[in-house]
Amino acid sequence: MLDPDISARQARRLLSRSVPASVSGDTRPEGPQGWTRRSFLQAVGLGLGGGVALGTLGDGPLSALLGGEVRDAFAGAPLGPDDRILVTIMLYGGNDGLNTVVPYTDSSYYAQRGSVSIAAGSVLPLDSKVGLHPELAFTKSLYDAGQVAIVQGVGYPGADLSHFTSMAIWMNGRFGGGAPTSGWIGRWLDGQSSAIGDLGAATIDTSVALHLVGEQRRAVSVSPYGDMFGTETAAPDARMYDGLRAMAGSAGRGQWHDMFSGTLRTQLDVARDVAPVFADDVPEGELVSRLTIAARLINADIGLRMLDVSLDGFDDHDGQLPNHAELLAELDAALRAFYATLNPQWRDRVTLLTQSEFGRTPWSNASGGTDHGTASDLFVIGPKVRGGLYGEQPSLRNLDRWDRVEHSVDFRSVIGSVLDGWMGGGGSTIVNGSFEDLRLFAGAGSGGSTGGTVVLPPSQPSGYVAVGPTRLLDTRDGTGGRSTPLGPQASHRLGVVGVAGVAADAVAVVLNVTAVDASAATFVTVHPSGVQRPFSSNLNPVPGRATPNLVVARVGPDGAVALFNNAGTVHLVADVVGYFAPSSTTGLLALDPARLLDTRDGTGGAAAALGQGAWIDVQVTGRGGVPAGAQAVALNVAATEPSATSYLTVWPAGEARPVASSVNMVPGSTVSNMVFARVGEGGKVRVYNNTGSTHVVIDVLGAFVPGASSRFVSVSPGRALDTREGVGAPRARLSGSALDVGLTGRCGVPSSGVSAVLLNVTAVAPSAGTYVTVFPSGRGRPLASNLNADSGQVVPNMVLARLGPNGAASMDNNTGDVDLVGDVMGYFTT
Amino acid sequence: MAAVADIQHLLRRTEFVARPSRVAELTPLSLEQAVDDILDVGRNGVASVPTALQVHDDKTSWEQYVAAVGWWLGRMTTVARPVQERMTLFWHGHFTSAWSSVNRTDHMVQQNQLYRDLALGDFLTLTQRMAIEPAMLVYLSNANNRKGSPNENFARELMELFTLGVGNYTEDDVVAAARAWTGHNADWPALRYQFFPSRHDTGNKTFFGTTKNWDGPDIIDEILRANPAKRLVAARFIAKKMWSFFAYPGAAATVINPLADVFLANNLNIRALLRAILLHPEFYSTTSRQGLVRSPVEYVTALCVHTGFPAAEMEMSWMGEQMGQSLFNPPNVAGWKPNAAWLTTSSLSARAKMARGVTWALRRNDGFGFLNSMSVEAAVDHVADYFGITSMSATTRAALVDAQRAERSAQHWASWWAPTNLLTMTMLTPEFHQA
Repeated sequence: MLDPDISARQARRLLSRSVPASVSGDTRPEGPQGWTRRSFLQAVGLGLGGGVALGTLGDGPLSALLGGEVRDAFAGAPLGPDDRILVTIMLYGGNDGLNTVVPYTDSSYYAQRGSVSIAAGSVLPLDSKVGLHPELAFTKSLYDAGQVAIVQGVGYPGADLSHFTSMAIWMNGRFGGGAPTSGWIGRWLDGQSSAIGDLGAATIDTSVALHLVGEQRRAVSVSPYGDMFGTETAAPDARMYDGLRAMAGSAGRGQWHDMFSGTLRTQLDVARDVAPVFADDVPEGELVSRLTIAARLINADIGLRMLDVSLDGFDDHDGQLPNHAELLAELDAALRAFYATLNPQWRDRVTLLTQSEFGRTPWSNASGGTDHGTASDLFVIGPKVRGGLYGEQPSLRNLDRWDRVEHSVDFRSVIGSVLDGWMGGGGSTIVNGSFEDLRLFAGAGSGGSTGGTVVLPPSQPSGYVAVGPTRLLDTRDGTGGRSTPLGPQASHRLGVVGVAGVAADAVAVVLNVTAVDASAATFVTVHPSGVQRPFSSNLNPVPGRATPNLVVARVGPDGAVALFNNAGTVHLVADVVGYFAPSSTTGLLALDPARLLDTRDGTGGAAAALGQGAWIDVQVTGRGGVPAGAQAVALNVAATEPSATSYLTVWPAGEARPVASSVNMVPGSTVSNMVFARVGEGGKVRVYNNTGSTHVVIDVLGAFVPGASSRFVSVSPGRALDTREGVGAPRARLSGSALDVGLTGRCGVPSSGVSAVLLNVTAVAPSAGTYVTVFPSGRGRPLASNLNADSGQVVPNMVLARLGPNGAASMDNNTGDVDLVGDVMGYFTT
Repeated sequence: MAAVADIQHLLRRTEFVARPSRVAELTPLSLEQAVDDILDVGRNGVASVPTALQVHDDKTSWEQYVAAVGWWLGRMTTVARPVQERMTLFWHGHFTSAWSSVNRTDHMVQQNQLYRDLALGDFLTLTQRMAIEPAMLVYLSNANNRKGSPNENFARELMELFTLGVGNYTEDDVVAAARAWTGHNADWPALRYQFFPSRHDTGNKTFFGTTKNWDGPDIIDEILRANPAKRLVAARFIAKKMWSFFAYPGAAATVINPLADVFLANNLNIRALLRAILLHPEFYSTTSRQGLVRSPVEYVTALCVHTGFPAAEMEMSWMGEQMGQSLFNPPNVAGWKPNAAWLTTSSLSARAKMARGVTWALRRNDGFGFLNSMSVEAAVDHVADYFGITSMSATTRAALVDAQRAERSAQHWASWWAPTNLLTMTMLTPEFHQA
């Protein structure tokens, strides 16, 4: 499809003269029926003010000329009472965020910018740290009215300084995966019902840029210059339009032949539908004119849900101050013109969003300008926007001349938040991932794809009760009442209280969840039923292999948990192994990791791979600090060097082997999974291998002991670490040295009284096969692994992260480099 | 003797239009002889730039710009061997600069003359010369690139867009090249190229792994001559872009790489590369024949050639903007995108308005009134032939015939409207908009 197209149109500012009547243009000579549509509309008094629609004409003879062309199947129906509108304003060239939202009390800013800075005395202060550029007075008035959200530090991972690469990423609305073929508004358009018509989205431009191109549909373009071809109403013109329409179709002369004739037909339809907009002259000003047209198009109510306008010229490598001031003045004037034109009845239905491909360098160059930068600010504007500052202004401290700032908000988080919060949902599909909902709109969650709106408070401190294992759900065979896979964006509610021995006062259940037969790379989130889906993930299934993970899921008010699948289809299997409840007095005894079994070297008594259908008993009590009375143990179980696709089951010794699985593996790959195992006869657990042979390595991480004081508190899952995004750690891949991650005082974990945090850690795309070890900060790295991942994989595992005196856990990557993501599920008290 | 259809295709792609006189000249020749004739741009002589476009005058800046657009479009429609102008358009969209940023018509025209003079010349020389053209110095900021705080604008685009493509250099290479170009500035206020030794960073820089005191022109020499790996990448990059401009975008490496080898074997001679493209069997494939949409400039050039209207009357400085292609004002440093990018509703609206305007001019004094005395079918074929449409699809022809029949049987003013609408509709057939 289209490459991103970025228009430059400064020349147009010089074109204030009227076009000379010469060969060009449809300047009709005086002649028979030389009756232009404009003079016709003026004759019938159809000014645009007040948003008068053509349909309000009476039945007089003049209206008959318009005939059936007023509105037909082409234009969408008028918007429904709940349909909302988004206007995107693209600021091409890379807007200087630092001179738009100015950190006017930061001496680093003035030191680095020198003369290319905005004096503190001239900014329009928003708070004690940042203020708007002095040309943004109208925007400031909207901000003061609580109608502008300013999102600071927006960017994407691994900033690319090319205009075109960066613009393509922004327009795509997704990250990675090669050259984009579609954009986020285009895909939104694809997802709308056919009732929206071809006028669902429009750009006021001569070209249709990538963000407006979907896989099936694309936005139409409306000329910013006035009347389009196809608006004459005389009979000979109508016959000619019909004749041109008849050329459309498949002529067997290649795609461009058909695209030309098809687009010409669409253009005739668009021209007819947007004609009223140009009855009055359009004011001057590159963006003023375009946003005025946008407001008129909204007033006309012809089915438009998305409008796109742009302003070019932000690439200020030299002479920045006057040029940038002129552009921001144009932006401010355009916003003023937009609201002045917009019919008040539409005011609450419209949100505007500014975007630019990147910001500028913190340092100025010698040309009085700045070079291509990274993170920048954007505005979300409208009466329904929750005004204020979002994200973080990037730090300018300790930057060298060549440094660029880090982003704090992912651009997909903004796009997703706008789609979910304003445009009726679908955000995570369109941006291909679940990102933080910025809650930009009053009445957050409205129209979104998430469930309810309640966020549960932290649970009561609870003890552990081991049960089963018992299979509660298998969507392959109907266990749990479902025999179909979960589709994209689908949730399955799974009742857990009162089944398989789970008591009524359970606050959280411990499940081993396995994803099978995923049709696409996806993620699965397990969360309390009836509660808004959190920004976290538990499993990262990929096609071709079964992926398990231990899940400690908070139980919803209705006694159930919800399992959510993001993309494609996937079967889910869930085995319950225990639960936490306030009535239980069995607490956690957290242990230094100790190896209980390694079949490769004989640790634990077996020095041979576990064969097909074979099992082995592992003594757990009396070893590694596990006391005799332990009811259950927390183990990290790794299968390594498996010869076949297989699974392991861990269950209490002396009992019948349950239908359950603990670890799933494929040949040639090392897989580890946390297992909460009930202790059986003789203080042993039993490990079974289903197919082929495999080595097994087991580390003990903790024991659940009656009377032990440490209780579990379940919290709403929260992302405590994301090295891709700079969350909880610098935005850098983890390589040789251990990373300390502070886990107290955030994500629902108190700042004291915490012994360990239950963390779902995901390794993202390691550069080589590796393993990750998590251990208390300040201690040496133990001989243990928490997470094994092959090169390029995305692999999660539950981790019982014990904390050092500083409230932090250390994370160490063994080989190559890797990104780590950590979601807090709860914590254990001291 | 070459096939007529092949010669027509070849001429549309190299000379904008397959003029019947040129078809008659070239058809008796072998394909190689025909291509050599088309590439014989020496027959155009040395282009003379009107004096008014060689000086700068702030007060008449816009008028100068309008005159420059008319002058260039005029050359496209009138010179003996238009491939020189089509290649000038190619280089203008490749080594881009924009009047709206440079603000000097004389400098834009001077750059344009360089692209014309070396349109089929030596690529290394062209690249070195374009780097120090005043328009480029201003457009990509080397005019102010100084030691201590180098400006990366030109250094980045030189590699990303002009020679190598993304992925064939690192950010460190961009910084090193930017430092190498420090001091290669423009004097003030004349804005002529001048090297200022005091502004030049003479320190060591590491570029493509070699650490030394790199100077700006060394960077281009390294990419296009001294470094064989980069030279190969650049040859393929240019071969692919020129193939896309003359045949169709998205060709396989099996087509591009041998063309790049020809380019390399001929010491990056542009004429040799273009000759290989025009003689490649794939150039005559159906994919190629159906592979390009006429750009707005090519559309208007064709209108001028077929109607005989002077280019300066077409108001391309205004209409080009509406159609999405302003000469001397590419949309950004990456130039224009082909095909689907031209086919938007608003830009087709502008093409249609242009067609309607040309119609009114053709109908002055009842021009084409004689069509009313012909049969409907004959009138349709006559106008198609007038606009050089040699092979019309059945769908298009049926639409024209039906509309013409309906118009002739209308109650009022049929003799006025029938020829009028046939002319406009023929200019808006998809056939007329395929290159």
